[in-house]
Amino acid sequence: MRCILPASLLDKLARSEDAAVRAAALDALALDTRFRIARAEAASRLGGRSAAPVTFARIGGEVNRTIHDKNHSTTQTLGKVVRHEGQDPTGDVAVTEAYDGLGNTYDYYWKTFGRDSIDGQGLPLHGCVHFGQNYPNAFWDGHAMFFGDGDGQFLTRTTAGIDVIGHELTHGVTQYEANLVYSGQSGALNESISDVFGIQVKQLALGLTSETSDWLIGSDIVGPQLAPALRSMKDPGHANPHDDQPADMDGYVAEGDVHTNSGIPNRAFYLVASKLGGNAWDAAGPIWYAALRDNRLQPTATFQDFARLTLANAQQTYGQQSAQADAVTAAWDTVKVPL
Amino acid sequence: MRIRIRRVGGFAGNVALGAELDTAQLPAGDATRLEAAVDGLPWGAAAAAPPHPDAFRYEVDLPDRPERGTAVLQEGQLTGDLDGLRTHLQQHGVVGPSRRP
Repeated sequence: MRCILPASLLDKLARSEDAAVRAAALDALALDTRFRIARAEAASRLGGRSAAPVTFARIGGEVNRTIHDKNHSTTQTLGKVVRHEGQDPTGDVAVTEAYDGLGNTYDYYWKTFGRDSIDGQGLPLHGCVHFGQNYPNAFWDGHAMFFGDGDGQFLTRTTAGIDVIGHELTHGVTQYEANLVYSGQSGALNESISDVFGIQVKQLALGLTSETSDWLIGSDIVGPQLAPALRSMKDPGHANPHDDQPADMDGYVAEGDVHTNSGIPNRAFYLVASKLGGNAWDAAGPIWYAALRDNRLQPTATFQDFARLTLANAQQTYGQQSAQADAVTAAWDTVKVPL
Repeated sequence: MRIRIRRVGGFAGNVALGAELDTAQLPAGDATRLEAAVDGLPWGAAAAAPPHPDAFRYEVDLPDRPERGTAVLQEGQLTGDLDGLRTHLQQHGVVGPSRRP
């Protein structure tokens, strides 16, 4: 009912002169309230593993964004507020892109999993633009997102990538869930999970399916030296001439950067999503999300630990002999991670 | 003194930016200060844990003194007399794979 009639119209109908209209509107409002309470209860249970106890649950579903202008400073303080939630665009494209990208990411997690923000408990989102001088990077510092303007050669304006914003905020989600240690295989998993959900944020925002997505990371923020993209989930190692990601465990780089070996689990996700077809968030995304939230996933997890949890969750959700479970098994086999 | 510096990590951490600088090409005062600062780096020490995901880190080594190994610095440590290394890297850096040569 709430989907069809806005609450304000129902309020008005509830004051109607016509008794039958009043009764119908009151019924609808009561139902609407029950839905809201049910959703709030679900949201309160969905807090990350480090979630605080909830006394009064949020209704959820409403993003709370604040964009700050760092004015080229590199201090990790928030900086001057330039746009609050609900305010109009400022005319600064970086502010607009950061605001929209934070919204796209919130929407992905809420619509797909009923997750209320990064911590699952409605954490307000802060984005800090114009960090540093020509700074070719973007990062989540544990509390807020920082965006550099790019150096023009290596990277350009980092707010331009919806996948980049989804990637960084997903580091926040991981922090509240498995808190994967940022080195070795657990570090590469941490990176891969950020690419996996970052690309889905972009796919949902732009209406791209597993077939129509290019599965490229960073294609909207690369300068001429790294064009056409930073990473390819479909074809790791071939996003640009310098990309050194391996496509399977035969190419695993001992002591490699976490962004290098992440190519292996990235490709496993691409293989599952493309095998199942349609939207990546229909089944592949939920399987990966369930594995990330699984209490058995340890901070020092290996690729194999994570792979086994994706299979366990696919089997539990879709069935032992399901197409989804088969796709997960085949994907890890292709990238040579033994289950 | 020849100094090699590589910027690794960051969102684009599957590629790296590298450059070499010879202090002989700097004004004498700058060269002395940079050499002293480089001499005091934590040579051979294990890299500290990054302050947050997608942080840059800098690897410094001396081609003529391979026995000293590599010094790994976090972004916030590349300040003062070492800042010239960052500027040099930004101006003359060449993109390459992230794995060590």
